[in-house]
Amino acid sequence: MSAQTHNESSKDDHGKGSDETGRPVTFIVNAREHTTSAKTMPFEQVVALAFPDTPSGPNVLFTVSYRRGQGNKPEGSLLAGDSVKVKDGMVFVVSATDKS
Amino acid sequence: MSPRPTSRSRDLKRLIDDGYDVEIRDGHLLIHGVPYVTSTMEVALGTLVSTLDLAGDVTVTPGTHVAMWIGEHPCHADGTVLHEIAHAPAPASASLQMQWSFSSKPVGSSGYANYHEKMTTYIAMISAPALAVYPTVTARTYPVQRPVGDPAPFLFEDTSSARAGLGAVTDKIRGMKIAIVGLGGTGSWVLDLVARCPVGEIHLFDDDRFLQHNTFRSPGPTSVEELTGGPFKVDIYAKRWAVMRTGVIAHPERLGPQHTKLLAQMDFVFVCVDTGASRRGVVELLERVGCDFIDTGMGLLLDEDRAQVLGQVRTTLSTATTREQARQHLPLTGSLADDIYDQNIQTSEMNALNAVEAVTRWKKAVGFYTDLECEGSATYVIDGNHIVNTPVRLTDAAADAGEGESLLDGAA
Repeated sequence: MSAQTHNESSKDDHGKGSDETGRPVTFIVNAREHTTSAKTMPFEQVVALAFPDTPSGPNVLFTVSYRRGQGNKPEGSLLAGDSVKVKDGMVFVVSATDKS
Repeated sequence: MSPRPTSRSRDLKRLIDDGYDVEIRDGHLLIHGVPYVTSTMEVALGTLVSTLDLAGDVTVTPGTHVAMWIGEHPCHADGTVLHEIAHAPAPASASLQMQWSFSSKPVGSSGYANYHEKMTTYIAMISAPALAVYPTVTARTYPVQRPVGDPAPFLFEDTSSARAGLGAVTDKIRGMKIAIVGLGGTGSWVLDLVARCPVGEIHLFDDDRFLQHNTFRSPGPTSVEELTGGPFKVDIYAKRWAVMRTGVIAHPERLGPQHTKLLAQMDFVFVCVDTGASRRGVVELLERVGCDFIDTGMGLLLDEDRAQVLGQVRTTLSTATTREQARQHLPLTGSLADDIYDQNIQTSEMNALNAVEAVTRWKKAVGFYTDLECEGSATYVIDGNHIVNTPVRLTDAAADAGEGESLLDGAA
């Protein structure tokens, strides 16, 4: 997989990395790899990783789905304001679901 | 009941000419007034029933040798069960109260050649003990022809549900009034699925014309002739379905407050629109009228580096008890219209998938399919072949009112 890796420094760093050893974890947003040392990933940050050039704001409602997450809630949808624990290999998909 | 099969099928016509009391109902062939002996050694009249296999409303070779029966189980003259034909209790059907099914294959062949042979063979076996008791009884009573019932909605018998033994299940959606708002890619596939159900009316709302690019995301082939003159989408679809069923009604206009009275009569509405702004108008109107509806929406993205498409397909149910939760998933504001990321990619298979999800969700909500999840919104993710369900969490008020057994009023 020829994924480009974007390093991002997390703004809300809850202690050390989210895996046991404290190493940054790698996760995927819209088929692109990213790394973080944060424990959780807020909705807004996932959207920003998917659409870095989109001005944030309440203008567009994004659908954010994730899978391969932490054991007690390995999959689900994120709504604005939600956060989710991030895990190595976790997969996010972000898009506006407004077309027919 | 349709008069057509009996007038054009030689075997059915022979049954009528022989004086049997023939009826075609719900895709089944019925013969009423068949004499038989009960377990108390009395002679009574029952009804012999068979599924009916038709092609172009003319019978073909019966697909099964099994027949069914409305009445007590037929017995020998001494009141013991006629085990020669006994098979099993019949599958329940809401409109046809069949109690038993029989199984008796013609000797040395794979099945019955036609419905005349099938029905008369069974009648001979069932009525033989009765004739031993009363030599004059007969099923050939030459009755006055039964009145023609309502053939709606299909212009020919729906033998598909009968073949599958789905009568009691299908009855849950029979006669319903459905609206589809937006006949683009997804809406046209929703129509394709719903129109095959025995719902009574399907109202189509769309003010767009059917253009060349629409043909590539619409079910079935489109001819150049159909495109000529720039007809409205809803008129094309209403015309196509008119050859098979009644009740597909075109409204070549944008849904608006002028449709309030019509919407109030709808049992269910499918929303298949293209922008947040138009979705907002439709959703606000449907909420005001109190309609149960499903909103569909997809978001596909082009990964230019890999030349691949990724994204999601969303299906959201909104009912009186789930309005707020549904709204959390509905894009009601502007889209990324002026943004380079707004590529408006759509593919027919994703339109079709969104329609399949929507129609399945509707059928689960009305009790056609088993529903243990009761999801309020579901998102299919292409790159994982994965569906994320968001459960319905009823508002406290709704939970207190005892809602939650079913999301829809009057659903099974």
